[in-house]
Amino acid sequence: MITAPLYSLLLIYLAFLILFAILSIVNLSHLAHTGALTFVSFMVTAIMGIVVILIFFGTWFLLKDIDWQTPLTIWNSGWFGATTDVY
Amino acid sequence: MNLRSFIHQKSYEKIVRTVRRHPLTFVPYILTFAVLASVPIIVWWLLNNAFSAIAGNQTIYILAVLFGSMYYLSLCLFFYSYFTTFYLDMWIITNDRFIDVRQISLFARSVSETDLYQIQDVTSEVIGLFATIFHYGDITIQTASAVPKFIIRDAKNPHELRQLILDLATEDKKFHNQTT
Repeated sequence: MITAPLYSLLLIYLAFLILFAILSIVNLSHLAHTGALTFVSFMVTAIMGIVVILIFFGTWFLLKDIDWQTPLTIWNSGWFGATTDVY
Repeated sequence: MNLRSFIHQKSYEKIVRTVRRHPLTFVPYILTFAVLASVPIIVWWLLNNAFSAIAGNQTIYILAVLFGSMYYLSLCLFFYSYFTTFYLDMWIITNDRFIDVRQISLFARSVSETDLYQIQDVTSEVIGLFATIFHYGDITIQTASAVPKFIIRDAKNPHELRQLILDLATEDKKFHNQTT
């Protein structure tokens, strides 16, 4: 049986967040370098920022009581066939 | 960087108008993203009702929350990228040049320009119910330059804009005829 702590899922989430941050910065830099820093682009950026903060808050709120040290079973040979681990 | 340095504005040049697509043409994107935003809520509701045993599993719950969070963040990012692409599609009209900036995708942009005196023909078109009600449409500019045709898409008041381009082109032609 192969297990990993539950917080390993957070590492995948963190990798995604890094990609998300990079692409968001690319978008912002496009707006800045094209002279498109107007009221409209500011408003859309502000709304996006607020929505992203709400998503982070929602994620934290839903997962705040989780014990991240709990082992997560990645592979168990017992899933396929008989109980081979128990003799 | 401001618009002046972006187009390398000449000393005698003046930006007459910056044209962007009509905001109404962005509404279908907003509706699409609204529909996509409702998908995880519907899926979670179905999962809770049809497979309550699975939904009650802690690991499934964590995976669902993290995946949902990633889904919504991706949706935000795609929406922001769409907005950037939409908003950076612009046409800059100065008293000397016509500049077409097309943001094809997040990592692809094309910028082309023509001198106003090279403009040969300008056509404006308003097609469709919403375009007629809200006064937006396409303007096609035929030129004698290396880029034979420019199209301004979904511009506000296209007929008025066509007249403006023609007037500026006439002025520029007069100026060039005097200097040559």
